[in-house]
Parts: sequence; C-alpha cells; structure tokens
Amino acid sequence: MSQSISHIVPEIAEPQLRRSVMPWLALARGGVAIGLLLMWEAFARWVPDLIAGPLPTLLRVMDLVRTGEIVSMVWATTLEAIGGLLIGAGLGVVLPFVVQMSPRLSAVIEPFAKTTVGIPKLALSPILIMWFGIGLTSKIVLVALMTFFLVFVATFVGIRSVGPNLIRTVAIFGAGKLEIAREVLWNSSQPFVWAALRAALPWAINAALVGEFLSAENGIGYYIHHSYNLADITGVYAGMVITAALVLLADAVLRLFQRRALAWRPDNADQTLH
Amino acid sequence: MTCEPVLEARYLGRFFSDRATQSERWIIKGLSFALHEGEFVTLVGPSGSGKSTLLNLLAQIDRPSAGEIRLHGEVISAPSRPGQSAGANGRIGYIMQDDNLLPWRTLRANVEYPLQIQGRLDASFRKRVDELIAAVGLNGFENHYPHELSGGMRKRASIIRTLAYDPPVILMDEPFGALDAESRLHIQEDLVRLWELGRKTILFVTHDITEAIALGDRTLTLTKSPACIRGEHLIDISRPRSVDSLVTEPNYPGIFSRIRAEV
Amino acid sequence: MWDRIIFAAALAAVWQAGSAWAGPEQISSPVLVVQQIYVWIASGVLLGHVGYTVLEAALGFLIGAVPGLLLPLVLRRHVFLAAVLDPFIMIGYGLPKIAFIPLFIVWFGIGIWSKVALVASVSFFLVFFSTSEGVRAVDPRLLRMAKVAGASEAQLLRTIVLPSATPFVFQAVQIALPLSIGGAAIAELISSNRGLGYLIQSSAGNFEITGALAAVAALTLIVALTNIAVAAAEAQLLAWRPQMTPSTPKAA
Repeated sequence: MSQSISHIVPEIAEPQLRRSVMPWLALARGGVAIGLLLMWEAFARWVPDLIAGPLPTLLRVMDLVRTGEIVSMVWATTLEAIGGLLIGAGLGVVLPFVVQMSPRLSAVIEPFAKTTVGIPKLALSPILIMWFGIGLTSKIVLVALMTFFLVFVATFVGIRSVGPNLIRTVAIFGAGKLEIAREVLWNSSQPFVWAALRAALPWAINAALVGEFLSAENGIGYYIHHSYNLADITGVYAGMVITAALVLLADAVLRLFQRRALAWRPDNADQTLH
Repeated sequence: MTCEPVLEARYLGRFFSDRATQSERWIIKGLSFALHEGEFVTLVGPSGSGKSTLLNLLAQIDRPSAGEIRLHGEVISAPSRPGQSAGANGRIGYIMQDDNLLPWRTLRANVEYPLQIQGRLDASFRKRVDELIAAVGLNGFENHYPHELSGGMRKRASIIRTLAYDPPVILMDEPFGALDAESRLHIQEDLVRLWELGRKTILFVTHDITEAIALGDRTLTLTKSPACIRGEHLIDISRPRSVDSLVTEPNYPGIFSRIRAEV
Repeated sequence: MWDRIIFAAALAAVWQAGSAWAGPEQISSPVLVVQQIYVWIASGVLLGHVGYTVLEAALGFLIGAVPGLLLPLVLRRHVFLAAVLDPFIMIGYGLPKIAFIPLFIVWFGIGIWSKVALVASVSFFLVFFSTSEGVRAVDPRLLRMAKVAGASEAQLLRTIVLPSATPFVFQAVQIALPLSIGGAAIAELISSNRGLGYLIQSSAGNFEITGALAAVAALTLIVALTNIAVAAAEAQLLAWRPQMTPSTPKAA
C-alpha cells in the first residue's frame, strides 16, 4: 500500500529544546543562511560559467518584475498547474466514491490503479505533446494525469480506512448509503485527500515545467530552457528561484487551507501518508 | 400499558458457513426472550458466546438464519423476509464498546447528528440535547471536538447521542469495557439516573456480573456456543442503588453466586 | 481474479479497436507495442537503454540515500544542530528538483552524471525525512533499558535505533526507488543520447508513437519489478513485525 500513496509530506518536528536556547537557535539559523549565501557567492566567483551569484540572480528577477515578463510566465505555468490540478485532483477525489459503491468494482480497479501509479507519468510528456499539441492543453493533461493517481489512491485508501463500526453506528441512526458517503466516508478521507493534495502540488508544477522544457511558447519552464539554450546562466538561475518561490508559496497557501479543513484533528496528528 | 413485549426474539438462530469443513457453525440457536416496556435487562455470557452476534441481529445489522424478531408485536426480522433498515428506522438504538463519535463534529453536533438526519432537530429537541448534556456534566464542552475530551466524556456523549433521539429500545454492547474503574463507576451511576428519568427499555450486555447486578431489573445468562438463554434472575435490590456500596446489600451475594454458577 | 483478467482484456480490446478506427499512427495499438518491444529485445537495443537508465538510477540512489540514512543517526545526539538545520532541509525537500534539470545539465553535462545528480537530490531528502521520523519514533523505554544495561552509542544505534527505524527506511526506499528510475528517464527526455527517456523522446520526435509507448511500457515494467523486489526484501528483513504497513495516519 505504501508505494501507492507514494509521497512524504514532512513537517518540522517541534525541537525538544529549552526556551532559553531559542534565541540562539534563531541566531544559528540566520548564520547558516548567511553562510549558504556566501558559499553560493564564492562558488559563483570560482566558476562563473556554471553558477550565477546571488546578487545577479536577484537583479535578474527584479528586472523580470520591472518589465512585467514575470507576470506572463508565472501566469502561464500557474494556469497549467492549477487547470491540471483541478481536473486531476477533482476526478481523483470524486471517482473513489463512485467506485466504492460496488465492492466488486473496487476489487477490479485496485490492482490497475496501483500499476498505473507506477507509470512515470512525466515520461508520457512527449507522447502527450504529439497528441495534444505544444500549447496549454498538453500541459494541462500532463498535470492532470500526474495528480489524478496520487489523489485517487489516497482517497481510495482513506475511504477504506473507515472503521466498520462507525458506519454501522451511523446506519443505525437511520443514515442511508448517500448520507454515509457524504458524512462518514467524505470526512474520514479528508486527511488523506489533503496530504495527497500537498504531495501533488509540487508535482503539478514540476509537470508543467517538464512540459514547457520540451516545447512551449511561454511559462517559467520555457524561460529556463530558453536561457539555457542562450547559455544565459543568470536566466536559468532566475527562473529556478522563481519556481522555488512559487512552489514554497503554493505549499504555504495549501497548508493554510489544510489547517482550516482539518481543524477537528488533534494538532499532533501525523499528517504524513505512509 | 399493554402486556405486549417491546422487543421479542423467538427461536432466534444464526450460523456461519465454515469453509474448511463445509459445515454450518451455529453461533446462536433457539434463543428466545422478551423485553417489556421500561425494563432494564442485563445479559451476561462467557466471552465468545455470541453476545455481539445477538446484538447485531437485534439491531438489524445482520439477518437471522432462523427464528424471528418482533418489535411491538410486528415481525421486523426473519430469514424469509427482506431486511429492515439498520436500527429499524430509528426505533432501535445501539451503543457499542467504542464511542464511535464523528471526530469532525463537535460534541454538540455529534449529539444532534441522529436528529438532524432524521429531520427532527427542532427547538424542543435542541432543548432536550441541552438538558442531556447538562445531565451528564458535559456543559462547557459542547464545542469541543472528540479528541479534546477524555474517554469517559466521549462515552457519555455517545450515550446521550442515542438517548437524544429517543428510540423505544436501546441495546448496549459492553459500553464501559474500555474505561478505568473510577470513570466506569461514575458513568454507571449517570446511566441509571438517565434511565430513571426516562425509563427506556434497555438490553445491556456485559461480562462483568457486578455491573449486570448493579444496573439491571433482570439478568439473563447465555449458554456456551451455540448460545441460547440459560437462566433468568430477578435482581431484587431496591432502587435507587448505589453502585459503590452494592456489595453491602443483603441479597447481593446470593444473586452473584447464582449467576456466577451459570457463566 | 477473472474480473480483473476480463477488465484488462477489455481495456486492450478497446485500445485495439480504437486504433483500427483512429489509425495506428495516432494511438498505436497493443499488438504493435508488444511487437516493437519484441523487436527491440531481439536486436539488443532495449537492454542497452534499460541498462543505462537503471545505472543512473542506482548510482544516484546510492549517492543520495546513504547520507540520507546516516545523517539522522548522527543528528540524533545533536538536538540543537538538528533544529538549526531542519528548516533548510525542509526547503531543500520542497524545492522542485525536476525544475533543476537544466541546472544539473549545465553543471554535469549531458552524460550520466547530470541524471545521477538529479536522482541523488531526490532520494537524499526522501530517505532523510523518513529515517528522521523513524529515529524519533524509537521507543524511549527501550533506549533507557539499553542504556541502563550499559550499551555504548554505537551499540545503541545498531541494536535499537536502526531496527526500529528500518520500517521507515523501507517506506522511503519504496517511494524513492521508483522516483529514481522515473527521474532518470525524465532527465533523459530533456537532454540525452541514451536511456529509456531518450528512446521515448526520440521516437516521439520522429512521430513513432508505437516506439514511444513501447519505451514507456518498458519503463513501467522496470518500476513494477523494482517494487516487487523491494516488497520481497522488506518481507525478509521485517519478518519480526506483526504487520507490514507502517503506521497509517493516526485517527483522532
């Protein structure tokens, strides 16, 4: 089962430290951050053909902001990622509820779902580009494929994890199949769905980027690949900094929604999937 | 008041097919008993004697292989009939060993949930929910989620959740098994107090003889597998009983040893 | 069982029929894909590409997983250092490594090492996080017992911490190995002259849909075989555990 849910969403462990060392902790983290930046700068000076320093990278990002180029490329990539995520995750959440209506169908689907999870979906991108062209559609399909299986399997496992006694108890109150699905199965699967969504989000952006590397006219991936072809190393770095910021920001937003949706769970509940 | 039993089992039987030996293994066979209006009946049996199987049949979660179950004289379950919905449309309540609270609903929302899906949650039932919450000392915790409550509090919540929608019969399957001795004592007293307020018909399954005596008007015992009713004991100890000082009652040792001899 | 076979046969039949309708040059067909794989196996072409991709994945996995396994064991005794590094490793994990493929190519060239670097960067974080979780999950009572019995740190690690963390390590391996193979292939898509990813990309580039699908099928097969091998190894190594799946999300 574990390989089918397939991604780990780590949380920072509460450090078991005394309060008095907390200021030192902040200081040490700041020190490490500055140290990493200095290392980056040193490497950039040592091999300028391979590494663009932090300052030129930052200036390039600011350039892109000033000219407004950043808006159109971030927009293109976000549109692909969100469009694909909506389709993929949407189907991934809804279909297990249809499948679970029939135990026989569930038994048939399960091994196929697990096999398809094993297909490296990003490897399909050249084929999808052949089928759907180099525009937006092929990337949305790629992202949807990438995220669908993750969310589908997690939701499926979530539904399966519901205790039979909880379902019986609710049935005794007079709940029908639909009410049980809506109240018990839906809510019980939420922790699984959210963990899967958080695992799927970086992959959605990754998939959009791979699609753009291979062929595109716009987007962050296009910008990185284009800069690479021009041997413009600063451009490659700027593109990657933007991607990293986008992924971290999107995860922070999703995490906020996850906290709200799962407010009923204990704080220390493990939100990772195994 | 009629003499018609509220809930009655007649020659009830349930078998499961044993795949290895290609034979039928009867868990329950020829089991008959009746519960009358407002009675608190306790049922004691050796472990593995099919107590839970019996409750599942009575609660309409499972179908009998033989015999029939009647609710207010109407046959609600028999092998030849299409099954009733679980809980016979809200007429049979069932409190299991786990509290089975919905973790995403607050205490209050949990207690209101059966009423809500039955479409009966109006002002008077809201008031009833308030009263029940207060009666078991859970006021102030209405907006807490189950994980924020202690085991005893969750158990109380699960009991008043069933009492709130007022089914004519309530089945309980070792509901206090998982609690520590202290909270168990308190919650037993709470249950008796609630029952005396409303006089529901209750069938309470336990393997603890003292608990069976403390709570019941009558105690039934089960035979070893396949289970049927072995004996019936009137608990002639006057109410209100103090669960704590039960052992000092003059009738207690006699009842205890008679039940002990049968299980 | 029969249900599954019928379902699989139906899928293949729909594909075959669809191919007759839309034309095999559009969506190929199961028969064509199987033929293609056979031709590649017979000519030895497939083995070369498979070997290359597997080599990248294996090298990258080892380079990433070994430090990912050892670092949490070291950090176990250095709580402050672990707390300092935690957010940086978190960010490192969160970074979209696939997006860094062009960078790896700039640094390590279009040969094997850029793919190895990608795979290593993916597996390191997965193994690190899972092992850390495992080290944290060690029963403190067992540790106290061993300390009272006079165990040294090395003995503690070998006899208590590592066995307790093994299920978590396996969980990471189960996730990281398929990702390693997939990641290597994806890097090959973007720039390479060998490997299954290259085979997919070059077939697609020549509008040979059958070739591209056959290469994807071969890739899927390797991933599936890897999963089976890991599961078998886990069953062997973790025979002492009552249940094979590591903890499911804890219920409230």
